[in-house]
Amino acid sequence: MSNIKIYTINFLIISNITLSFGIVWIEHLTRSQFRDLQIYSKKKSDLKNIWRKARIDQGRYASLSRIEKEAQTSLNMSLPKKKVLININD
Amino acid sequence: MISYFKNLKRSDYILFLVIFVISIIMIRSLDLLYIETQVYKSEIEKREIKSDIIQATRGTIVDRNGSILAESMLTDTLGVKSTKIFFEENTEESLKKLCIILNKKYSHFVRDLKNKEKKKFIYIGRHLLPSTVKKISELNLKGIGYEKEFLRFYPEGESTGNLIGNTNKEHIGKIGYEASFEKHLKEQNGKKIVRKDRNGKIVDHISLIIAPKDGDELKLTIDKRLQYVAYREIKKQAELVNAKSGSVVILDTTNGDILALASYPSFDPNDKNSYTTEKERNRAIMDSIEPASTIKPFLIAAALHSGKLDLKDMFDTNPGYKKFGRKKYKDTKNNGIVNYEDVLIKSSNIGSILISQEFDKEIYHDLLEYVGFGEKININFPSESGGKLDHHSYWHATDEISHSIGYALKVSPLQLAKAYSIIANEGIVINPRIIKKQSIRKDKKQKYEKSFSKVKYVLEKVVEEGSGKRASVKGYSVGGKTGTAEKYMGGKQKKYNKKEHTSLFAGIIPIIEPKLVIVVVIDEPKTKPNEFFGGHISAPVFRKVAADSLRILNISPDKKMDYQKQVSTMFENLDNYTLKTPEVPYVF
Repeated sequence: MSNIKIYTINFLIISNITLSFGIVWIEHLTRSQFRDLQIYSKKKSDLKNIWRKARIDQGRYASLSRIEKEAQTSLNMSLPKKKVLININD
Repeated sequence: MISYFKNLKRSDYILFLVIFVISIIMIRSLDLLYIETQVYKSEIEKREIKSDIIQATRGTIVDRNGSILAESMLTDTLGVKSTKIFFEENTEESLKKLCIILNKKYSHFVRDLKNKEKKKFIYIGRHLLPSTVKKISELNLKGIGYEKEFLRFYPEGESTGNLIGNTNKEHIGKIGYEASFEKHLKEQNGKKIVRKDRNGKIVDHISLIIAPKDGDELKLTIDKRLQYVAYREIKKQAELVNAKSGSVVILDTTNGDILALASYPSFDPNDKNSYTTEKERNRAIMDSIEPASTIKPFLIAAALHSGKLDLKDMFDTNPGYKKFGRKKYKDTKNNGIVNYEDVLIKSSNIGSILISQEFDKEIYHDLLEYVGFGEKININFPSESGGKLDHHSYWHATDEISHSIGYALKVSPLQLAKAYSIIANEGIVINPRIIKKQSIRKDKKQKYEKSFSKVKYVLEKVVEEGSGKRASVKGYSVGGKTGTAEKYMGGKQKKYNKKEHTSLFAGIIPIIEPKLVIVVVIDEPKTKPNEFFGGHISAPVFRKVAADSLRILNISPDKKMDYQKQVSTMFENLDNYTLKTPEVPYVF
């Protein structure tokens, strides 16, 4: 066998082995990255849920019905009588 | 023996080494195949490869300012996975504690579970608070499991109940905009391949099959603050006059945005028990009513457009009633000799009929068609009413008279609001829209400009000195028209019920530079005689809704007024009447 043939065979064997390892490694990497992605997706979904709850709370606390009720019951706010209103521009 | 080893060559050593390695591999293989099989088999059973659903969320519905009208959130739902394990491995004491947490009677709880024994997963507590989940976890119960379930929440409660609608248990829109925009709001759950352990817990994520897609957001032109104000006022008035129902429409005249579509009675979509078919009906969109005197501005506009009506033309309405054909028509009082302005200001039926006889019915029909009567607005609401407007060729003599005083045709409160917005814009048609993304549909042709501008000017007088005085808002120029329709009894009698009425008010505010059109309809108010008129029942609601809406929208007064009056206007609508705020099922 000539030297060229031996080098070629060696090169092919080494490439084959390297590629095989590469494929396995990439598959492993993809799988682990997908796993990470799923973990982050879960976190994202949890955070989204918290955000949704916060928006609901914001909506509820900012609703006119609640503001009116709280003003009247908790803060004892009442309507000023016309007589007690003073025009500071006068 | 020693000599034998001494005679061995290097190749023999290699051969021995190879045989040794192969033997080890074979022994281990046999061990795996026959001895440790059960161990690995159980490991495989423990970790199974399964497909799993990735939950997506239903789209949010928001108002014009981005405030939430409907939102979904993930909650925990508790269930029994195996009744056998549940009853055998948990103590009676811990089960009783669970019943206390879930607010259930122990005997009923046990009986219900035993009845459903065959089911794979028996729900025992839906949409639980995190604090409740924590308390249950502390009991260390066996045979139970949690499922994640979405809960749809409506922060505005009953004020938007019959507009937004609600969803069923499967999270599918049932009524209102939840139903009509089902495709837009619907989420698409994803799918992935996972490895699960014996307890069903995911231990590894393998691959994605279908990516999840959340439902799209739906942005409405509704302003939740105005919707609240409109609903609060219509509810208050309807309860006060013991009316069957009521509705309020608020329309932005500048771009056709529908700011409020309130309808009483309504239900709280968060409370399944408050729902009835009667309450699900949004009357502002779905009801068809005879507009009665609120039609008169359009009759006058048509008459002016025909060129056969002038301010100098006088009509004799004496003695307050007149027979046309076989039927007798009357005014609420004798208005004497009137011109077209007086006909509107005093809301004279006789005057309207006399004017209608002065010009061709085709012109009147065309104008009614132009303002959108008899045609659906298409705001994508289920069962939207298109009203009723027959072609003029079908109008008999009595129909012509009926049309001139707002009978024989039907409109929805929303259609009436659209028609008044055309008066406000002096003939320019802007089609109302409720979806913010929709482009503004503005009709460039401006018919009837002069006629509507004259009518608009008279509408201000109706509020200043006529039947709509109770609709005036301090500091603002207001124009509008009252209406009171007797209700059609139907059936063989084909008669109108003189005891049942629909009270209406349609108004434009400010009339000089129009911003809002508000229509108030109250159905079957039960009041003292002569107090069922639109000017008595609906005009005060208009005033309150308009005053609050102008304050909320920061629309400055267009009339000079002193400070004292301005401040008192700000407070005159506040009273102790408030609506119930829905309780959030989830508290941080």
